[in-house]
Amino acid sequence: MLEIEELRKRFGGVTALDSARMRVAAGRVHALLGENGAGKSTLLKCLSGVDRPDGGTMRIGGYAYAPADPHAAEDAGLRFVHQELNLVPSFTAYENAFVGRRYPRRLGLVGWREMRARFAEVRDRHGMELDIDVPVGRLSTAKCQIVGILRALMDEARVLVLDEPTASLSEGEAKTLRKIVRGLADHGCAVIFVSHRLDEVFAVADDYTVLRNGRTVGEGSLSDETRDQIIALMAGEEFKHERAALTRTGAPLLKLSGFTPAYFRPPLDLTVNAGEIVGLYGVIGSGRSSLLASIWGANSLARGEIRIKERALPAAGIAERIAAGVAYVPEDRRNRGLVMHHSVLDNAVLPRLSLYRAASKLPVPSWRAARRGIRRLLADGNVKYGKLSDRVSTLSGGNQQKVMIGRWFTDEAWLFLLDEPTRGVDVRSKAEIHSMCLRLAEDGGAVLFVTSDIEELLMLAGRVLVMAHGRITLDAPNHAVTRQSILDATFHAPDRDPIRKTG
Amino acid sequence: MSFSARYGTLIGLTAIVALFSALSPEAFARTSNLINITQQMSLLAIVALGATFVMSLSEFDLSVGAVVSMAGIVSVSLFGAGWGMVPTIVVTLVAGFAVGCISGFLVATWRMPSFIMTLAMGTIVGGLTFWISDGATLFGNIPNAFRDMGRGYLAGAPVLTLWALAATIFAAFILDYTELGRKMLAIGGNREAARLTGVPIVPTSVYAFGLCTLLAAVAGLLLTARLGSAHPTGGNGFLLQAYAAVFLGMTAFRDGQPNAPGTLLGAAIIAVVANGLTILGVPNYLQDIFTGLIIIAAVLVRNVGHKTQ
Repeated sequence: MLEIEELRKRFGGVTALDSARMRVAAGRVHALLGENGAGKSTLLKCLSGVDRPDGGTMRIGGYAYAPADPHAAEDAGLRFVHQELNLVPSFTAYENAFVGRRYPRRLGLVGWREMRARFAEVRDRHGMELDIDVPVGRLSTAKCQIVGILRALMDEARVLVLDEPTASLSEGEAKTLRKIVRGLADHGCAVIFVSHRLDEVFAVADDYTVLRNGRTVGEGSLSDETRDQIIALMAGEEFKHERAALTRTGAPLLKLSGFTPAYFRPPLDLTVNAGEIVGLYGVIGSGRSSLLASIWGANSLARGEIRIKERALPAAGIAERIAAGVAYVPEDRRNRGLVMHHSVLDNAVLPRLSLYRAASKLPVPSWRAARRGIRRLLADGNVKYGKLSDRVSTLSGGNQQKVMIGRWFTDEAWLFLLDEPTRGVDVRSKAEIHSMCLRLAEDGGAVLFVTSDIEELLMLAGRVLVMAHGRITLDAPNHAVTRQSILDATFHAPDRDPIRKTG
Repeated sequence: MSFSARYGTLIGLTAIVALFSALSPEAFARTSNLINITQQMSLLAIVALGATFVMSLSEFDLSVGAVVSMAGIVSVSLFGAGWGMVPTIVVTLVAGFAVGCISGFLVATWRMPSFIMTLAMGTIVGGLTFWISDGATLFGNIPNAFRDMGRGYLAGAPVLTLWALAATIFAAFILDYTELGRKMLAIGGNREAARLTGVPIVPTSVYAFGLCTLLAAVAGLLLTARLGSAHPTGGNGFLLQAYAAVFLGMTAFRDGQPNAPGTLLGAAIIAVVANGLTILGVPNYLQDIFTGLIIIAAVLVRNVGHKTQ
């Protein structure tokens, strides 16, 4: 049904796809696998007409296929259900299905009855259970996924792409969804299934394609493979760069016991010691970012015990963390990190306003002291900027990132929580950010960072943590882990017991 | 930030003044008229400076007009009940401050849209004001010392003008030279980024809304002092013009951010246009149309400037 050959795509200097191949047959469920950054999303974007490939061919039903935009993909019979469904919560299922589509008309007005009937017909044809008369905001996540799938199936689909459809579902809901996926394939549709749950892949998919660094490194029928073989394919060769050494560790700086980002997540225990750089790996949705934000006290649903330097803190509350010497840098620089249209100075001074007071008891900053202090801070972080009064948005991405991290680098902070500190950053800035982390650890501080990049994890982290389904599934020193053991923990089945600390 | 972006609006005001001076050299350009304009704009400026605080949070407070009216009615009622000047002023200001604090608290804790929240708050305040005054204009026995706060001259300048200047310095100080002001602007720039950097959202918002209605209450007191009476809807007309002044002010001096000198400039533009057109004999409804067009033009200029960045 769908054949992809030699597909190539570069973004700037980064090769996202390099000779990717994939053959999907009608009536089969095809799993697209690979670790973070292997090229899965880029492949799907080429398929959906969002990105144009630089080279290679795609064919559907034997005919050349080169979509100029998402409409062309739709005309060719491809349907995409993304993880973010973008449903209008106050609309019913059938209203949502018709958003962006021509409404049926009756005397020139919207034909509500026909709209509902047409959607109900699609639902029944696929044998799904769904109340289509309530606003989708009141439906469960699984039911919303069904709405998303049915919306995609309003017209005849030849290829249905499900991107992480079960990531936010409970085990029971995921099971229902898998049954539905099976049913769709039996109807003759070709289904491409992207999932980070390997057990689920084996339960539902017939064939597979594994991508690594933008290349297809394995394909075939899943019945011929074992879980370990697939993981070995995704992991590939051992890491070539120099690995981070285990830094000498001191007293515990951060101690979590029975701590959870939200009451419905499993409780966690974790200790981070002085001098440690701890890397936290996991796929999106594994709970790593929400754990980091919760340690920062930014999550009002967090529960459990958290101690910083032996001092107990409330489960939520950012001011207490700052006072205790913790710093946090979120992942989404643009929306959650910086005030993009404010100046470099305003952004850099914000977390430490009280450090630059004109008089210690007076909450009035001395701008002269602030400028002097921030200039030094930015020089330490090797930030390239024009004037302090320039908008921070005029800086390069790498320099923005260094502002965001460097502004916390005062003597007051010694435990850094960094969420994807080098995403979208040039090589040089990346090295500088890494050396900032090393410097902090040498001075007796500690870093807990989240990354989606195994190379970075192994290069920087003296101790490796892996999260899956809200649990810590691996906790070991750098020298004791391999790419394979990391991925094994990443694709850990949700129902197995969490692995206890091994090192 | 380029010179033209920083001072464009100020140059615009200068051009408007020059235009009116050329059209009406005898009446408009007379020193006495120009001084008169500074007095005419003063109450608007004070209300608008208050609104600058909530705009710095990227929120609105639509209760300012109602608070101006309320401050007048409350103060005259207290005078009527035989209260002295100091307690009357203090109670009125506390009441004004409290209205904003309540709005700020509700907006920040429950993340209610400030537009709706303060519209409701303004309606409630308006209702209370009517209740207290029975819908009538109040005269009471307002002490002369109080009335002097809103009339006459000090060192050659109208007192009201001096009040407006004092309010501008106060607002500029809070916004630019205190941690509170920087935190307000950070929240307005990117609420989530500010929160994650440790800016306390609720207290900062409470102060911003409180300062806003506090200045509205100041304007209400001065209006009463000037008129020697208070009407239950006497201040309602300030609402839209105040926000117009803040928007105009955001195009000046600071890169698209609300700022106190800009707001004063915005109020000046509105007052100059009103005064000049009146002197030229242009009917009221045309004045409104002109003011509206100026605001649209200013916002357009600002947006175009933003896009090319």
